[in-house]
Amino acid sequence: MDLLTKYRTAATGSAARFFRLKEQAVRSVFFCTALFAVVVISFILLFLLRDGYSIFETVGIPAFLFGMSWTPTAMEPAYGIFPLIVGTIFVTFGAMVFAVPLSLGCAIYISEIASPRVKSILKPATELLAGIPSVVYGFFGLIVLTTLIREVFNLPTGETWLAGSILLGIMALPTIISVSEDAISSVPHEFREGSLAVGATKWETISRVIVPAALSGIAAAIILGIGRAIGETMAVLMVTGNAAILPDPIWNVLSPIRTLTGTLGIEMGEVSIGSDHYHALFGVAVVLLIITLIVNLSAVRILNYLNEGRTAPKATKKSLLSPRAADKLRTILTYVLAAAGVIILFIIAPLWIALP
Amino acid sequence: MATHSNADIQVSGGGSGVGIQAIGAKTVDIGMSSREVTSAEKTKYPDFDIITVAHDGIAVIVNPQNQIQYITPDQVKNVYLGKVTKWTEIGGANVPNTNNAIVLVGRDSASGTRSYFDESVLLKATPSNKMLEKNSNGAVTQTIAQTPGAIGYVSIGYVSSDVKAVPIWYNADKIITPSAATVKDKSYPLSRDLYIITNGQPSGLTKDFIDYLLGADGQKIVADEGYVPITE
Repeated sequence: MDLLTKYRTAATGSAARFFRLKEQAVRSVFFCTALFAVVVISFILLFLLRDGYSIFETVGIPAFLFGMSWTPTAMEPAYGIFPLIVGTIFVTFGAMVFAVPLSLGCAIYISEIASPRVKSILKPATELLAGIPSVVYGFFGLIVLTTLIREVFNLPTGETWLAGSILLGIMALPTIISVSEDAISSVPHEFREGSLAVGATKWETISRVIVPAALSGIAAAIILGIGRAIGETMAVLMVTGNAAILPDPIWNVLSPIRTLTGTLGIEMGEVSIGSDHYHALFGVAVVLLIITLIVNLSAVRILNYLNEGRTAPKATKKSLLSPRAADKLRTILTYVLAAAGVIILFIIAPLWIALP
Repeated sequence: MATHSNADIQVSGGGSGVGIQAIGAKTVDIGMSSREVTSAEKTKYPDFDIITVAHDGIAVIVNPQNQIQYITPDQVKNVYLGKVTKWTEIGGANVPNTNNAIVLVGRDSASGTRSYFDESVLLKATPSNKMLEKNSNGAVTQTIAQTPGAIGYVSIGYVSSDVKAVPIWYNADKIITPSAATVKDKSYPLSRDLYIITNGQPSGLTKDFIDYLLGADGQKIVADEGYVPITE
């Protein structure tokens, strides 16, 4: 019993009873609203499993997950979703290659470097980006992006993995920017001032103090971005071509590709109800849900890990000059180099393939 | 509408599967489908009354830049099976300023148009897995219109000036352009029926509406939309 209730109990008996009732009512109302999400997710899972279960039984889980061909309406139907899983992972990965450096740069600029006036334009602009419906992105991608890719790389068609990744990267930008910008802005002022006071330059302050201090928030931002990219359906199915194949060679970003969401998006509308194909689509939905759950759960893990690592020694400020900071810097540098390698893969490789 | 001014008709989309499911679940009075009701669906919903309301032709379309004059059914088949991958392998076809690679565009595997095409053109074979899949006639037309090397197939109602419907070559005397006229006189072979479905015998307003669709006024609308009426 808190003080307030105690006080009121002392005041009048019946008013107190009324008050307690009211408290309880409020509590149960909030409990119900909290429960609602749990109920919804369990019902969704239940119904997906109910309708998808039979395909796991018919073709077997290994054949479903690792089968190489998806031809549900052929004379001898095949329900292998391996190319679709790979497609989803590849498109999402490619999207992050574009989105992470761009949005981190943008977030750092907005929160650390930009003048208030520039900031007052940039921030609403990125937030506006989040408000654009995905089908509009898809339409833009279909009309502008695929044509551009087709002409630049001299391809027969521009509907490719690259197009999907660029588009999803753009769509994930606002999420990553706003969350990581919040994380960077919430780094205490003393960190900045302390760093500058010991003679570090602005860049050193940003790269060795502020970004490491905001790392858990930045990681959360990236994972939210991944979640956005994996679940995106409409825009992706409009620009990736939806051919259920593995890229050949596997890093060929100019190959058409098909995602799990795209498959659901284009086939769910016309599928014959109750057929194996119908159940297979529910199976696809189950797999998609499991992938999303894995991403979310690993997000929680990563955040916990980062938070422990950051709060335990309580030495973020001191670590500026300690050997631990050097270690950290080295790790960051490795990541940056790895990212640069991947970017080169995505920009040089297509050119290299395109040139005969 | 003049005779039933208080009738309220709502139409929603989603595709043949949705149409059949909706009428099966009796959430609607009439379901529409561009594919035949499958045996699985017939078993599940035994009371279906299926009525043909219009004919439709499937046109093979290419980008207007393609210089192709006509194509044989065999060539279409080989292109879709991935056996022919260059436009130069097809007589008369050439796409200037490209490497002549053929971009296959088709429909998603649940589509009624696709099942008809796979059955009657590909003779039940499975199209190449490199085929790009689109989920509507409009999306196929859009892709063909902006991709010089592409080939696709759509309902004749969706053929526009942005794409070129390729005449089918059977022999020197029989080269047939897909159009409402050639579908109607049955000389164009790639045609199918469009269905409306009721759960049980239609009655009341539903019956009146179906009679209207099958009558002169309804069939005139069919013709105006680029499809082929079932009556003369």
